[in-house]
Amino acid sequence: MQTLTRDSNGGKMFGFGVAGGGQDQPGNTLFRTLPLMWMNGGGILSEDNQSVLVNSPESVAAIEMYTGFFKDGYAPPSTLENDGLALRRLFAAENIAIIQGSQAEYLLIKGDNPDLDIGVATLPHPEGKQPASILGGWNWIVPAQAPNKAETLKFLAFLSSPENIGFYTNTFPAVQSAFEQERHQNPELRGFRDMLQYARPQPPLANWSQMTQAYFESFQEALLGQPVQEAMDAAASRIQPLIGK
Amino acid sequence: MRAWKFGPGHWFILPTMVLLCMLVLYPVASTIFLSFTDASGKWVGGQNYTETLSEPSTKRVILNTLYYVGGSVVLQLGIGVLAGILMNQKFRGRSVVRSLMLIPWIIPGIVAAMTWAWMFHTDYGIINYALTSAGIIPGPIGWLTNPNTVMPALIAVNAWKMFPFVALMVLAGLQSVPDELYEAARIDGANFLHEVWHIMLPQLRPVLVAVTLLLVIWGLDGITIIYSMTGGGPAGRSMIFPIQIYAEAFEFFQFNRAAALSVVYFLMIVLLIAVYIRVFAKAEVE
Repeated sequence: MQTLTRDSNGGKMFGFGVAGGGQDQPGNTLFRTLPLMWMNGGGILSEDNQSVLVNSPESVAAIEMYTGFFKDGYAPPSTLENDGLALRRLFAAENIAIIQGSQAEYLLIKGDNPDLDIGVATLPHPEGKQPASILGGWNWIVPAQAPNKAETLKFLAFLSSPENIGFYTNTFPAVQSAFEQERHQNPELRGFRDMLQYARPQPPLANWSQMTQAYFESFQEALLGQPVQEAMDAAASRIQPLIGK
Repeated sequence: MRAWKFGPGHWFILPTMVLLCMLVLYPVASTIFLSFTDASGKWVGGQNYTETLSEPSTKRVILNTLYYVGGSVVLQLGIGVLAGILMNQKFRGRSVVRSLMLIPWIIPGIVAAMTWAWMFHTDYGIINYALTSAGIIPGPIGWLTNPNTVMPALIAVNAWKMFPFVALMVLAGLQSVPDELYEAARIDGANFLHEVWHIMLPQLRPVLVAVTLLLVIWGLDGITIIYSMTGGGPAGRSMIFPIQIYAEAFEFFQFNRAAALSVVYFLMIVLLIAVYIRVFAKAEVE
């Protein structure tokens, strides 16, 4: 990281992009930090969603590592203004050497700066522990009282077939079997596909967005200088009452 | 005792009153009802109020709101009065300067906010570039990310946006001041500063009372600048009441809690404006 952070083309190149602010929050920070907590045995909540893990030693260690990139000067001073989009642009402009991103971002960066020589690597994980990544995206929802429920379900079943899921995406199909299609054999996207087996969904909780907001505000406090343990203890005290509500 | 009679005047205002009831009274009543129920419509008493008001962030949100509105109004009035007085003087190119001065007010709020956000950007903003190039600051300042600078920066943008309105009102007020007052003062040896202090400002008092009230109301319900520049961050340091209500309702889908916060905010505004009118507008009448 030290080697990657250097003067470059009359400006400064930073080693790593930390998502610490911007418009698209708290999602962008969550997507980049929750896998780090998971692969270290932590998380925001336990697997059964019954207890808070955000201030556990495992989670705190993961966040300390991530925020450390900023505190040690390997991430840009504008980190608290940078969401995923800002990081992608800074990467495409060659101001940041490494960012965490999705397959969609990879293709957008190639479009923004076709001359940029970039590669994809899977997220490293602590020795002896499992890798982790996070699932994102949108869901199809049919209201129980929908007037044309049967027809809608039939249409969604048609759209969800591996052939159609594979056909109607520009980047990455949401069904594993659709990867067999010829158009999804791009070797540059192999790393993203490899990580899918370790992907976990976010908890399906009604208060999840409030919990992530509490986490994000404490995360920003840590970037502003508060000790990570102290910041995550504050997050835990705000998240705890939301469990089971 | 006079019997109440439904006359032609009442018929004339009836459509307006019906419209007002639909657009104001019904939403207010509905919000109050929502604040005492849960998501399933069950009556929960004051639970939404105790929950939202006991949040540790609520105190900070109230203080931030007062700081933002107070700071903005003081700065808007200060710059606006100065600009209005200057625009009232005779100088070459006065019409052009008067027109140019209106630009910040005319620009749509979201455009102004995004432009300022880029100008304040830590790494690529022109403000840091100019200040570091001139050697005024040793390195970039996180104007919108440093807890000490974020609110002053947002207040400065809000003041920049609205000072032309104040200047315009002051200019209009000054044009109605009779020249005889200035002439009499000059005969007594008054200089320009004496004229400002003893003639212009006292004569402007009714205008300033009304303008201040408008600025306070616009400050209290304005979210565009903060929402688009910082979203209330970093870590809630610039979170104000209207954005908190919006987040509760449309980000967390806690409509009942949002309704409780709205009622509290509404009462705060009513109280503030009632006190203001009682103190200043009453003094004006006297």
